[in-house]
Amino acid sequence: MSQIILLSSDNVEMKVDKEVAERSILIKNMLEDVGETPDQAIPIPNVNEGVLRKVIEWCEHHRNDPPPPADEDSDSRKKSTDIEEWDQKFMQVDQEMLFEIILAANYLDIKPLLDVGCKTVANMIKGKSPEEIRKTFNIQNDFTPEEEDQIRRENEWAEE
Amino acid sequence: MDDKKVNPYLPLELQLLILEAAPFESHQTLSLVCRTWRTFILTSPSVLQNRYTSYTLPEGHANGPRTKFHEPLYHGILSYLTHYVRMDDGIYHACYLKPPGYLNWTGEPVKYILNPGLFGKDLLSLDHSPDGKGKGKSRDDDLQLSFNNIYAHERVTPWKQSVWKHPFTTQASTTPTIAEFLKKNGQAVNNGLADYYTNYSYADVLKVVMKYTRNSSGVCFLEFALAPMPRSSENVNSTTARERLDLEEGRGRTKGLIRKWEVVRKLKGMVKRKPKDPDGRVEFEAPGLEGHYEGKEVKSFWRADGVNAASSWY
Repeated sequence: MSQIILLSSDNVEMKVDKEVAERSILIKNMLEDVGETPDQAIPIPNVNEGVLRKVIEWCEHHRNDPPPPADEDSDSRKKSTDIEEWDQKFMQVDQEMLFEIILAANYLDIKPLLDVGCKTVANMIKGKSPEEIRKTFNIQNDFTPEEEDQIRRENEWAEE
Repeated sequence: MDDKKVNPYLPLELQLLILEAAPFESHQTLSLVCRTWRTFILTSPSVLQNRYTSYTLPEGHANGPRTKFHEPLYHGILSYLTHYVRMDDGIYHACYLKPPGYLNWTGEPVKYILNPGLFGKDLLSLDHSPDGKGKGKSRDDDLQLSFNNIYAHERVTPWKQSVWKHPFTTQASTTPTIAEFLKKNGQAVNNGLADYYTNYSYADVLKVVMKYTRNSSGVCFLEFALAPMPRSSENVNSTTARERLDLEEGRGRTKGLIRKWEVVRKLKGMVKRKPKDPDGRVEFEAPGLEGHYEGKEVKSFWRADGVNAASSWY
């Protein structure tokens, strides 16, 4: 089986089965453009070694998965509870790594991994307060006092 | 130097993907984070669709081969809806929500009074056609009832009142949610309400399912909440008839909520309440329903003597 070399942003080379690497649409298209298996390492400038190893681990495990449904509205992509057990364990990483995996999956165009990452974060923020969520995402509260007042009224009977 | 880790910044495009994946129970909180998130939660069709679910009824249509029914989507809140709460003023108010996984400081599940809040304008049900097309849309003839509509005729009292002390709420803790009720009674629904299920929105079915399950559990009070709005031409002409119906159903407050009044009226005329039996149970009989109803054959209907035996069919 042919292998390719990926080069992480911190200049670490990793040998990967071509089939595994092609879970990334970015790499797949790149290889198709080149036309043959390249001898030189393929640079992945936005992904460091640690994250790239995680991504490759995921691709290894899912190497035989069928391609994701073309239908963007497919229910299977939306339901946040539908995370395979293996993926759940895979995603048991600290928050920084989780976000890095999501960024890498987006950059490398690995939709199923991106979905799992987003679902994991969606489940993770369940039960957090808006302020905690803002901290998690580095988001500024930009509501005007009037809007906050309206929202408060909207929610005044929401919980015990 | 502050060595506290700062999470990598996720671009908005990825933040929105996360919002799309979020369960609807989180939507209210997520809408409070920032303006952009709020707008997305309120307006994105994919987020809106996540607020809806469908229940697939069990196989085994008693009146013939299984029909490919419509499977309307309906609002996830209905999965948590248990009942209305009667406050000290004697009026039934909003319903409880019991989102899973929310515990208070004593470890008890946090209970919510249904606050339409963010979901106020959401329709209770949307069409989900058998072939999957048109999913998430409402049909022209479908029920167009939002949570705000429910409250239009309801006086909602703030939560601050000590509703927990009311005996009604104690009893209601054993009340099944609508989802539980439907799962339990799905077969019965399938057998007897095929026509309804095919021709009316799921909310209509809910309405009928709940129709004669009235007892102190309060589930019956959902019925009027799900009743369609009236069209002027379908208003009940006879004051006597209306009063009788209101009396029968305890739904005097529901005036103005019934659109397909004809449906309700016909059912009302056919179903009679029997005197309480020695155990205090209330039964209903529907002698007129073993025949034709609105041009369709209806072979079975049911009687109910309470929520726990709400679907003894005959």
